[in-house]
Amino acid sequence: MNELIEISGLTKAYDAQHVAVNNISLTLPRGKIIGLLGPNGSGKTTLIKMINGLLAPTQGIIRINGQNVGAATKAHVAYLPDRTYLAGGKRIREILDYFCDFYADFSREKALGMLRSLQIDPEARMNILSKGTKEKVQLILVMSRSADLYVLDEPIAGVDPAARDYILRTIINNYNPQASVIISTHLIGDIEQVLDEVIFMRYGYLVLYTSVDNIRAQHGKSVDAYFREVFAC
Amino acid sequence: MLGKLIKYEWKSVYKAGCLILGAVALVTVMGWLAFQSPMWRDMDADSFSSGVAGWLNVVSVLTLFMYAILLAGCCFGTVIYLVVHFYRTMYTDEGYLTHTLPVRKHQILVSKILVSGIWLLLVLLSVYLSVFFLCLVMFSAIFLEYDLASVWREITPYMSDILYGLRRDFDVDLIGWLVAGGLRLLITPFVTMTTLFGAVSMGQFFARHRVLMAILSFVGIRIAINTADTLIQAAAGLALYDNIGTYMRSSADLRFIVDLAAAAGLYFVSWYVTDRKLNMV
Repeated sequence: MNELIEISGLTKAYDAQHVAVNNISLTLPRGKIIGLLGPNGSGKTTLIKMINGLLAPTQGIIRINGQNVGAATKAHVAYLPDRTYLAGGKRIREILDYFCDFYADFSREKALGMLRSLQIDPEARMNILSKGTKEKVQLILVMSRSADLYVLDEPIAGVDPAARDYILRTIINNYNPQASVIISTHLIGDIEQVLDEVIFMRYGYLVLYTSVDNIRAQHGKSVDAYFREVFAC
Repeated sequence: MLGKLIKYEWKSVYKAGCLILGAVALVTVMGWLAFQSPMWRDMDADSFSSGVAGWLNVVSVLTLFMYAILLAGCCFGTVIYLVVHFYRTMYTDEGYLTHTLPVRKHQILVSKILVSGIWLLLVLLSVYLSVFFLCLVMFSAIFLEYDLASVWREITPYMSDILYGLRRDFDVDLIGWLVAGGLRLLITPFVTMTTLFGAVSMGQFFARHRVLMAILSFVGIRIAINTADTLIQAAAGLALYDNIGTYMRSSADLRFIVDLAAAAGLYFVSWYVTDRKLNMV
């Protein structure tokens, strides 16, 4: 079974006027790095939250590995939110213990190795770290798992260009080749070289789902240039 | 997974819990100091200190007021801390971690109710212990010529008569009351926390002002519980009992059952919100 995620008729309406995701149907394969792209308010984060069980869909179904979103799928999905979700008073070492206890696919050695390479002290408390370092710690936690699906919401938004390179290298070098990675971002130019496929969203609708090679072949443009053309204001 | 959830929940609240237990101990010492004033010894002699010692009496009474207020503050502080902790770890940014763990929502809720209930129980027990200790101190301070052991020895031969009299005249089974009261004391903290967590979860039904709506939900829940309790007692004709013991026992039992039923309903609300209607914005 090559399909990893099956999304069918997915809708999320916060109220009658605010439909964040509108009747999306999509099947995503394994072994791909997929860019989830769209302007602000296009429904990217809402879709990601529904994949992770943080938002209940108004309509429709999401299946991961053939299972509805729940405790079983969460064991196989590694999620990096667009915010700091770790308690400030906790030491990084304690957070590693926590992940070791709850995620069978978490590798402490891998996490410690990445922390060492970034010169982050595992004894440091989260609340003394800079915003960029917190984001790196969260990314390390996610990429130290051997998950089937990695969902990264704006992983490079708050860090400097050098750190962006490190993060992208981390993503490429650490994900399981049988797994897929969904990356949501506005910084298309920075991640374009690692993407296999892209999803374009606007006003909650699915505008396009295709491979990066296809965009280049059909339109003779980079993903960044094509995105600017499609979403020109 | 439930064991791991309980372990981490315990780890995240035990420091605050120990701090509150320490505060109860300090407040108890403060209460004990209040009874060291000469006023309490003079009470037994039917005369009050005046002049130089007079200000000590005023300080003693004020200290006892403070003791009562601080002890109540410890109880309320514990409840507020546990509710805020629940809200923070379930419905704010920290909830992103809680709700992406590969565990069932029942396990998350049970772990939080168990740990919060245990800490509230520990604080309540420490408060009861503090009050009991101060009652002994007060007794010793007022009745200097008696020691507690001798008083107990004097009462013991008449205990069976006292118990019989209470049962015959007021239908009060003191031992039964103590056992039922003890059981209620053990269960009530868990019922209280489940009810409060349910109110916090009810706030999540609203798109805006979720904390305010949670507070209003709790007020509404308390009004509903009290109304249901009154109506059921009236329907059961409890007010017609001519025996105070029967009335009090039945009234307490009914109230406890209503509280239990409300907590069960609110547990379902919390589960429903987290499992079916979660909206992490």
